[in-house]
Order: sequence, then structure tokens, then C-alpha cells
Amino acid sequence: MKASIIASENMEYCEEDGTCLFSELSFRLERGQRGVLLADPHRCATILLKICATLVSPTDGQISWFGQSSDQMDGPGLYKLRRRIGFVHRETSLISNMTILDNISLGLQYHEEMVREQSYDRVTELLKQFELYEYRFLRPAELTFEQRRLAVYARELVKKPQLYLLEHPSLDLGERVYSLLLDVFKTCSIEDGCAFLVASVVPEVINRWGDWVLVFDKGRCHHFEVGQFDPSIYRESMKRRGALLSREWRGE
Amino acid sequence: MQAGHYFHVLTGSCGRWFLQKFHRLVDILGFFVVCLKTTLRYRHTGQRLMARTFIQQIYFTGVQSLELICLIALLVGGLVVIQGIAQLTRVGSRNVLASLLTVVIIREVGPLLTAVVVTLRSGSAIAIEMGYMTVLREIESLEMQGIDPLHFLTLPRLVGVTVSVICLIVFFNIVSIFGGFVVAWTLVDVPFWALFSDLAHELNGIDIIVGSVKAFVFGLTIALVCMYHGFRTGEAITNIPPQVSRALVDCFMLCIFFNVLISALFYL
Repeated sequence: MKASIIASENMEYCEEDGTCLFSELSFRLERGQRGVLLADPHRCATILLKICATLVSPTDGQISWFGQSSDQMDGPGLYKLRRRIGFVHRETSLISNMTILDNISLGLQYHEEMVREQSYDRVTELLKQFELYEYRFLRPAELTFEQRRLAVYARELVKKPQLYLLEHPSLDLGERVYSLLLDVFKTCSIEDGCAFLVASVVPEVINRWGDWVLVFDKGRCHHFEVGQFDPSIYRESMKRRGALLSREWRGE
Repeated sequence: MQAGHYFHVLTGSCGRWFLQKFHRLVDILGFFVVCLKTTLRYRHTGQRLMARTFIQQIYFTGVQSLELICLIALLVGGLVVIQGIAQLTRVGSRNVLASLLTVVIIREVGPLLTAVVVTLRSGSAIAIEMGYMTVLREIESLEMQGIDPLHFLTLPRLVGVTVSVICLIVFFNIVSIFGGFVVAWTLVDVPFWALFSDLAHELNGIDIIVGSVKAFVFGLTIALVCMYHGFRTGEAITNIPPQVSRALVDCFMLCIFFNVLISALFYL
């Protein structure tokens, strides 16, 4: 039996001041599956994504990637694993003193010892698809937010990872570009069996991304299959809580 | 009673200051060991890319600071000779001018001033670059590309700065001595070739070894300390200026400390 792409068991994350963002969190993401994380506050989802990206360790419980837990991996093993994970969060950035072309082909030049031109050839197709080709020799600061975001996605796509961790995938993207990105990811999912874990505050995102949903609520986690989850109920409950909170602030 | 209290406060403050500096030094040494381990671990990875960064570092630290080093070396060489002539004429030992140049410039001033120039020019640039990369999460991006930043960022800078400092010190010494000779020849009409032969006679193997050791240690110290402080910037952009300032002060203090230590080891 093939191991899950990512699996967690009774995972807990508490901050240094003792605040627990979540506890007893168990989930599995299989090949080709797409999971959505809905959270309020959104920090829970961000931390969970960072744990899945190996950048943060859980305070308790187990998490494993491709059947291997982080305890079984040394430094190089961890870096090797990261090459199999594409991670794009709100603050992901490009290297500012490199051109877009160098940013996107960096991994190829470093890991596969490709000469510059050879690595450029490998990424040209993707740059054309993302309409970044004519900006390839510019630095990130010279691009628009949307182009920068697309370049970040392109850099992750070039790695050909088996797991994508995405935070607010529609952030900074127009509808047309977002649809283009969705098509590219759909192809990855169907052809290469890539798995996706997407974090958002917008419940409608599950219509495009989800097979299952994890909803974080007051440090607890609720698991829903996509058919069982009603975005409108979630939205209503969030609204109610927002109203309650604002009343508390006003002292009513 | 009160004098005793002040004495305790003073010794306490001195002790804390010393312990703080000592901890930082141990931390920097630890950082160096981790860098070495990482270098050995990934010695066959990304060689082409690293070579390119190494050349860029040499160009920035070595080639682009040649003008500045040249100007400072000429002025310092001239200054040493002017002071030397003024003092030595009084005791009638003008013929020890070459000896003075060797002792002052080649052994002490050359390596130290070059280290100061490289610290101010390249060390600050490295600390700022690393600081920004940390704050803007570019380091995190590198990690998610499966690239160890300690290998990709540190190694070319360590080697580049060290090689540049070695070359710049040799250059400084040559230009400085030339400057001194020109001043001596102009002011007191000492024959150029006489000074040169005196210098060749005075300069021995130990001076060359000491110069090389100092150059190597200074180069390594500057790159290492600046990288270390850059990586420790944290998440706030306001941390960059104090971190850069700490890096420069530490570089300067460590270079002086190592200068004294190496001189004492070889010449005492």
C-alpha cells in the first residue's frame, strides 16, 4: 500500500504564551486529493501550512510526509523533502537581486547543475504560458503584484512537486489569471497525481479546490467531506461571531 | 560603604559586558562550524551557481575597492615616511626608513586598514543584504527550494571576501611602499633603488607569513561576522540598522584583537 502524501495524528500546536491554536488534529491527504483549510483566525491555517511545509514543528503529535516523519529525517533529508513540496503563502517572495528568469530556474541550476541557458530553455514554456516571457530579465520589484505572484507559482511549478501548499491562491490575481492557474494545477492533479492543501478564509474556495474541508473553530478541528459542508452556514456563523465580538468590544 | 557599592556595580557591569561579548564570540564560532559542516555536506552541489556568486563577490569586494585602497595606501605610505623622516633626522638614523616602512606598513597598518576598508564597504553590504533577505522571507523561499542558505549564501561570500582581502592587502602594501618611496625620494632625495634594496633586505619570510595569516583571518572574520549578524535580523525591518552596526563594531574589534594576537605570537 502506498503511503499518504501527508498524514498527521493528534497534532497540536501551542504558542510560547500557552495559547493552543489547534489540538488533536488528524488528517490524511492522498495522491491527487485536494484539501481545504478554513480558519478564523486565519493564523491556525497559516501555521498548519508551515508545519506541512516543514518550516515549523508541531508542539505535540505526529506528522509524516510520504510515509516518513520528521524525526526520521536529518538536515539534508529535510531539504530533499522540501523539493517535493510547493509552498506559496501570503508572504512568499522572490529573490530580489535576481531576474525573474534566474528566480524561476534557480532550483534547476542548483540541484541539477544545469548551465544557465539550458535551465532557461526548460522554463521558457511556462513563462510564455504565464505571460511573463517579455519580463524575464526584470527584477521582481519591476513587476506588478500579479506578475510577481505568478512568478512565485511558476517557480514552484518548475520543481514539479507532489504536494502543493497554497495560502489564498487567488490573492493578487485577476479572475482570468486565476482561472489559468487553476487549469495548470488541475492538469498537475490529473496527470501527475499532485495533492493540494489550500488555506483560505473564503468558504467558496472549496467549490474549486476541495475534496474535503478542515474547519478550525476555537482551537478545535472539524472534518467535512465536500458534500457535507455548507459554505453559507459557515459564513453565517462567522458573521454572527463577528457581530458578537464587535458587541464585546463596544462593551454591550 | 558607598565606594564598595559603586565598585560592585562597576565590576558587575564589566562582567556582564565581558560575558555578553564572550557568548557572542562562541556563537560566531558555532556559526562557523555549522558553515563548514554544511560546505562539506553539499560540496558537490550547485558548483556552477556558486562559482558565479563567488566571482561576483570578488568583483564587488576586490576589484571595485581597488581605487579606494590605492588612494588610502598612497596617503598612508607618504604619511609614514614624512613622520619617519621628521623623527629619524633628529637622531641621525635616516637609513632605517626601509625598516620603518616594513614594520609599520607591511606588518601592522596595511592588513588592519585594508580590513577596515573591506568591513565598511563589503561587510556592511553583506550584513544589509542578509538582513533584508531574512526580513523579506527570501531565506525561507530558498529553504523551500531545497537550498540550504548556509551553503548557497555563506560559502561564496566567505571564500570571495577572504580571497579579496588577501589580494587587497598585498596590493595595499605594494602601493603604500611605492607612495613612501616617492615621498622619500622627493623630500630627502634618498635614491629609489637604495630604499628598495634596504626594504628587500629588511623584509623576511616571517613578515610574509604573518601578512598572509592576518589577511586570511581578517577576511574570514569580516565575512563570517557580517553573515552571522545578517542572519540574526529577525522579522522586523527596523532590526536591520542595529544589526549592521553591531556587525561592523564586532568586525572592527575582532580584527584588532586578532591583529594583536598574531603579532604577539610571531614577534614576541
